[in-house]
Amino acid sequence: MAFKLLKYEAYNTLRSRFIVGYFLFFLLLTSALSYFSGDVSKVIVSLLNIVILFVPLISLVFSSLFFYGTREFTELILVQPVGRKVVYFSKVLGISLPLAVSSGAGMGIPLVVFGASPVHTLLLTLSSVYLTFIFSAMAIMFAVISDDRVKGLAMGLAVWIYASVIYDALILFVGMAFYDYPIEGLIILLSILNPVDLARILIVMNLDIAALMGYTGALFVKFVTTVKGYVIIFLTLTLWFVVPLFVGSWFFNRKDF
Amino acid sequence: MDSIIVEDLYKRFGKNEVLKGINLRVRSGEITAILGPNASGKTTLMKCILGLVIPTSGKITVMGHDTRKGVEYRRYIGYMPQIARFPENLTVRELIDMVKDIRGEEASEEYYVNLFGLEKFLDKHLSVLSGGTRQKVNATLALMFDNAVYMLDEPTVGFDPVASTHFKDEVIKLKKAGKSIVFTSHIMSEVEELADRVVFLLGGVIHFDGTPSRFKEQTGESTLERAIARLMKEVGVENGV
Repeated sequence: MAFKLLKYEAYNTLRSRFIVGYFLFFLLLTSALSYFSGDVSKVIVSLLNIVILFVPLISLVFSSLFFYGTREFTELILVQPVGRKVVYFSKVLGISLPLAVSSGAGMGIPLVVFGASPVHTLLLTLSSVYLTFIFSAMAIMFAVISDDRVKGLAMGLAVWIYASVIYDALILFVGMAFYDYPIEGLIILLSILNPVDLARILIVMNLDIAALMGYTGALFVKFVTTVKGYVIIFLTLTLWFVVPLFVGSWFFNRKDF
Repeated sequence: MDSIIVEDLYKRFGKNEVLKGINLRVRSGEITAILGPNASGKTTLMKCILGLVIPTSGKITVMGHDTRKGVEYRRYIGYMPQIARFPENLTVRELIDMVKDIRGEEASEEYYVNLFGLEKFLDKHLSVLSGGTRQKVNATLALMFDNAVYMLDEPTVGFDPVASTHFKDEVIKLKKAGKSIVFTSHIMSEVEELADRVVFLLGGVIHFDGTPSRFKEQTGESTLERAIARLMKEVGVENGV
């Protein structure tokens, strides 16, 4: 039953022309950048900026609007002999999976064709996939909590502004205020509080440009590129997805339609 | 046999208590009309039985299954919501096939597609259908499975007289086949024509439960419409409204 529902949900999402446009956007952009730049690792850096700003925002807005827009569909399914958990999880996956595949494949295919480093390609697409899942789950969680679509979307956008804008200012402030102290550990810890930053660290630290970041950069590279570092980063990113997913499920089970 | 048993049902939306201790037994082979003014709790009661709205307290049993334990009881129910809203980007055929697939049951959709003249709309998207046609699709989805209980929320709104007649004939056929039919309506001629039993709901409380003729007798009025108006006035006075 879960697979059947997921199929219909994903089919529903895929019928929206936006998803095709989203895939083509990444495909054309990555191809164009790779073709004209010649240095594929520079392309990775350019794409990184798009991934950490654009992917969370699009995932958030699309998932939120799609969840509100398919309320009739949800109600139609809920009066059938299907459990709410199955309805909810297939809904989240049905929305986020096509989004994740569009951005991941849209960047991944041209990068492979133009001969980018497999590790960098993998990390970039994985980051994009993770950020899609995280922000989709978060948008849907807020949409379940609030029946008012303006409020639901606003809550999601507030998280996005925190993760993409306010957080950087916060880190800068911590860095300035505690300039004289050994705060590398603290900064690493703070990164855990922001999935967007985790994705950024993951990619930047694997590129040569990490060397430009001095001592702290070196420390980060040392942390991130160990097995322990990878495990912590991926585990944290997974938590960032799983927590809103289950909180949303809890509210969905108790929601009145 | 009682197909639906509602015991001490309460539902509160925030501060607003919509259902205040509903007790109701719906019998097989009977058509029950739930009447009441707007916002009296009719749709909420139906949605509680369907599991769309989670009751604050109370117990609902459908064909012997407690609705709080599992979802299989929904297999016994055909539901026609008040407003026929569907996923807009599907065609009528896709929608029918999807519901059949999810339910995993055989359905007699062809019969209802013919009855309501939906053949020419099968490959059209739901977004381009008129309100009345959507309502016909809505009716097809509710009636096409062989259910024990049919819950119809203002079913004939939007129907043309032909569709409305066909629909009412079908409801009577289902009753004769021993099914339970629960419906809400503001059209009193329809209630007089169909209902074996009238349940009058006002402010989340059942104020009358019996045959339409007893309802009229009790209020001393000649028509159901007047009987309802009288009862609303009396209850309103009692509650100091």
